[in-house]
Amino acid sequence: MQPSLPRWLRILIGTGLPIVIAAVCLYLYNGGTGLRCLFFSLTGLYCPGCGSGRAVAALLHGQLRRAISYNILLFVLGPPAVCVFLHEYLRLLFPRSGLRPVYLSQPIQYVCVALVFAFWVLRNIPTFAFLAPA
Amino acid sequence: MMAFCQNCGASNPDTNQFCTSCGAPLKEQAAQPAQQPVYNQAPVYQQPVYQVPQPVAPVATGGLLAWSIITLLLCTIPGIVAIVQTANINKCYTVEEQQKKISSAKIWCIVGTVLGVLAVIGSIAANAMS
Repeated sequence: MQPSLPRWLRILIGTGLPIVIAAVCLYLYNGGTGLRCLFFSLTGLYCPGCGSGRAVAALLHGQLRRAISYNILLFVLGPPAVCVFLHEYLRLLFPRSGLRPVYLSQPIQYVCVALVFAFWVLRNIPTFAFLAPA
Repeated sequence: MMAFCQNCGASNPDTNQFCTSCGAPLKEQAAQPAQQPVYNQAPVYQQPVYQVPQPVAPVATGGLLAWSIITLLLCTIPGIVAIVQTANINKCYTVEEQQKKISSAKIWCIVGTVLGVLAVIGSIAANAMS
């Protein structure tokens, strides 16, 4: 059993993370662009995360279809990842809440890795240009 | 009745199990008959049992996988390394190897998250100044 984090650290993470997320969402909502991908800058190829900033911005404006066109992986892996992350985040902040750690089966983990690599490769092939950010 | 320790010669009460002087067991000495060496007994050949190495007990990796995916979206290369390592955590054959993979995956997640957040802050700052 992992020892729980010290109280000051839990308070820092508990308040800091929502503030950072809110700040980034606010920035994206107000049309903030200029989130540059280092991989794209260096190689000219799209990484699996390219377009996710624009996707979140479109989502915040209620444009779901447009958001999906920017980065579909965000909407495939994103919701379950956010749910699991939220569960573990609350378990970290409230160690005595009785929340149990999340076990994911080996096949699920392999599927996630496969999806990431497939998306990374395919979106850089002209035939699958619909996977690249619009 | 007194018993004499065959190891150090000290006298001990008959009821003692161990010698109060040197600690050697007494009862065994008294009860031990002279052992006859056994001859002509064929050694029993025991087939060595081949045990297939089993992976160690799985640990919960859900949180780490979710963090790896988020790191991947923030910063590619550390995220890729983190997610591949996380997927192999429950495929290790020793606990040490498993612990090393867990620590390594966590470090890559931290590196990727920090780099990603710095890049976001840097972009926002650069945009604000231009």
